Amino acid sequence: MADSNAPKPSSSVKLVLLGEAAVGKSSLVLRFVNNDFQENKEPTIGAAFLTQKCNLPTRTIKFEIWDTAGQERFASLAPMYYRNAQAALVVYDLTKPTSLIKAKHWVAELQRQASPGIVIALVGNKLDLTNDGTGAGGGDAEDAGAEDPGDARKISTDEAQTYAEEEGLLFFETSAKTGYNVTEVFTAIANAIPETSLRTARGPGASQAASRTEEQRVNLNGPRDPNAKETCAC
Amino acid sequence: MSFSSLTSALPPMPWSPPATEPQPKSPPAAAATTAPPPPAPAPASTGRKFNSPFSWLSRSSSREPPAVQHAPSARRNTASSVATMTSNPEMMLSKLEEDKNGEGRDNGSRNSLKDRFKALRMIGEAVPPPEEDKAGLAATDSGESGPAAHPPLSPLPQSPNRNLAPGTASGVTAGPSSIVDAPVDWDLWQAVVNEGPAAVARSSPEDLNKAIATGIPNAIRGVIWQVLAQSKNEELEAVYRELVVRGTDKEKKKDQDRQSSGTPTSATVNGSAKGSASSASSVHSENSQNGVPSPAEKDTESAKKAQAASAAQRQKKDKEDLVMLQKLEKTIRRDLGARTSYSKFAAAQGLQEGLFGVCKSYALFDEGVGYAQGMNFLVMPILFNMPEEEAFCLLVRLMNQYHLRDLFIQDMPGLHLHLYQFERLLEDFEPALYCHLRRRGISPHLYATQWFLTLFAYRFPLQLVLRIYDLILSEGLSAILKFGIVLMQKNAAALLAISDMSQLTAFLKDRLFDVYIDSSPSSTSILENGFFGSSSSSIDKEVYRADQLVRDACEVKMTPETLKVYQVEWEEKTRAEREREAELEALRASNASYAVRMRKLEERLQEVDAEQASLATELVRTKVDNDELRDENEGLRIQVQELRIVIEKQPAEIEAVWQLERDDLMKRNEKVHEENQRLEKELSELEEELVQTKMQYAEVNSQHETLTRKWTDLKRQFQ
Repeated sequence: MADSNAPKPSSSVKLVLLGEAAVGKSSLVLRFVNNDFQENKEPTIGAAFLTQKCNLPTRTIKFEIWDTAGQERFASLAPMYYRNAQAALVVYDLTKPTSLIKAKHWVAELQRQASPGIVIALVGNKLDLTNDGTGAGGGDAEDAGAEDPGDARKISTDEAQTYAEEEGLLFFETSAKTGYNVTEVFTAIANAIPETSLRTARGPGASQAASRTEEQRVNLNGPRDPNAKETCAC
Repeated sequence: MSFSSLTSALPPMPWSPPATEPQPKSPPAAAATTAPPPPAPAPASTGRKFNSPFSWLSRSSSREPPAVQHAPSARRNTASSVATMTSNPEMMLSKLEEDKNGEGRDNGSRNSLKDRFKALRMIGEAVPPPEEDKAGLAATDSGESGPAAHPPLSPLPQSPNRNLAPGTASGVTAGPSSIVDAPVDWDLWQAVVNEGPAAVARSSPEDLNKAIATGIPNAIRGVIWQVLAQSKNEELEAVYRELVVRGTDKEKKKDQDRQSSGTPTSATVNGSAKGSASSASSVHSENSQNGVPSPAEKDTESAKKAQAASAAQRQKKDKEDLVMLQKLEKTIRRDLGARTSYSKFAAAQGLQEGLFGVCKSYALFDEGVGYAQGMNFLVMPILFNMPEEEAFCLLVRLMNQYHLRDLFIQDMPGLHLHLYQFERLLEDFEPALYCHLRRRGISPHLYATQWFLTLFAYRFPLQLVLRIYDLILSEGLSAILKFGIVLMQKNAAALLAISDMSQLTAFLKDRLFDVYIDSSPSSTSILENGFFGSSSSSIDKEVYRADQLVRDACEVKMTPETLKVYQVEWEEKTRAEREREAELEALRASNASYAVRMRKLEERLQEVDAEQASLATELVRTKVDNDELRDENEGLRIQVQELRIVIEKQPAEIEAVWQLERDDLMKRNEKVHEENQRLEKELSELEEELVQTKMQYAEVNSQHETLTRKWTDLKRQFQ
């Protein structure tokens, strides 16, 4: 993946995942990064960090993914993760109406507090629990238990889509379990990142200087350049 | 030393009590029961304490009496000893035992722990002399349970891992691995239990530190933890029992029972349970300190009153509460099962309900905290060592006296404080590593959050986590900082060699303990590892040098003063930050108002501008006009000058003309005068003429008259 024969410009993008607890943030990342799925994944405490590359025709995007804990309690940690993020994935659970409300809160907070050019994608997860899901039925044991096994959908596509259009968000319905639409979300984000906000990998000197200045500003972005360096190496 | 081989042969003894639990609920649970037993705290082993051979002697000699007492006392304390043994999944059983204990509430919490400790110690110490032990065992067995206890005994000692079904036999012999090096200092533990940790810490601090550093024997870990935390509290346990059934059918039944019977005990329970629901948790923590049921009477009265007065109201509120409760339960349930750490241990399966109960009860007990993810992880290791009521008390204690609560309340101030302290300490101890991580933007928030919120129980091997708990309970939460620092120190080289951020974070999250993997574990430590049954996850397959870890952690020189300094620093920083934020907010507000004002001013400016523009054009026009006027003026002035010249010239001219005219007139006058004179002459001439004429006329007239008379005379004559 990394060894594209033609050296395409490669750049790092900081992406943060936000959303209510147990909507499947970590699972989406796990699917995207390792193409894997675990039932009953343990809750995230604090945050997790992962990287994955995304190849576009003209360039390579290296996602630095910050996966946050969803429980309300951990909200005070979130700002340091979405600070300087160029992209955000706000995830909700298609089978849980409150999760969309929470998602809207996150979108509002991001629009208010995060960097102005941030690309936000609204993602409705657990499509496998609905009739549209490729592998309908079965379902995620944890939530589907009490619900009608056929279609547990509680949030219509229209509702979420309308909201996403109003706010200018990318919108997808996914299933981390089946893998449906997961890569598409990240590819769409990669495409939506404006060329100008990308910092391509530079020589070591330049990148170090850049990271140093960033450090002085005490932001979490510092590592981007050193990482970009590695992208070159591999 | 042959002695060690002897003792290692003995560990099976402690086995018997756990096996006394007669009801195997389910196969895994039954297997689990075997796990936490009073292991081989075999005073075994090659003395690490060669320097004090006499202590050996004395201990071995002192071992005799308790061993003799063993049987009777075990019988006396059957209930309590069994209860401790059941620090395992058999919740129902332990509950029963607890209820039994509850009747003897007056003894005070310390006593019940003391009794339990005594029993455990006896079992532990009785181990060495096999014959006696068998006798003791027989006694215990006959007293309480079937023969189920025996089978695993024989094979174990020689080759611990020979027949080890995970989670079963292996656990039996597992004591703290420290026993390999050092004998269990039963007397010290006894002192801790009897006099309290504070007293022991005063009298022989080094011994206590050493003892904790070498590990609390598994058998008495549950008891010692509670003693260290002073958490045992019957009152609170009653509260727990009340809370745990809230919203279930059992509660309704209990309610009915209570109404019909109205026994003082249940009323007390009711009262305090209510208190817990509504009042601050601090009340309870105080209660837990005293461990005295003094408020019971008051509670009873108030409870009765409240019952009578607000029964209906309560029912209404209950309904609302029920919805909240169901939500809470759903949230907690979601995080159970495979989602908690150590769930892969056989023993853990039976503990899930207990875990659920403790989490739920705590959430109800302390509304300021509620249920926070992370609790489920940190409760599990406690549940491995004691029944759920006691685990609940210990949790309450940890939350309040150990200030774990600050980490879980809204905005998590405690967490941020500890992370800051950790960051500063890391800077002090490992500046290079600190810079390395910082340059890559890896703040402790990313990897150390889970250490603090789950006391290392989130991802790390249980063998080590239990030891970490030992130190935390005896030293407080700052022990986490020590462990954190030690782990960073030991891994510094490895971490410095990694520069990829994702690899770094992965390492920090999962592999920090790898440096403590024991590559050539002794048989005892292998047993230790399997204590709670093997887990399928790889980290728990390894054997760790737990003693080394704890020893290293204890060696970290971290003075309370430094921590205090960092705390103050942190507080100042947050205050400064808050002030800055407030200032920023104020600035933003004033900025907004200024913006409004500016907009207004801009509008006015625009108006003024327009006005000015019009004025300017007017001015230009005026100027133009002015110029024109000036020109005109100039013209006029010239005209005036000309006129003035004209005017100045005029008088002379006029004079001249006038002169001429006058002369003319005079001349004319003269002429007229002459004429006049001439005319006067003429007139006088004429008058003369006239007089002459008149005289002529008179002469004529007189002639005429003379002629007329002559005529008349003549006429008469003729007549």
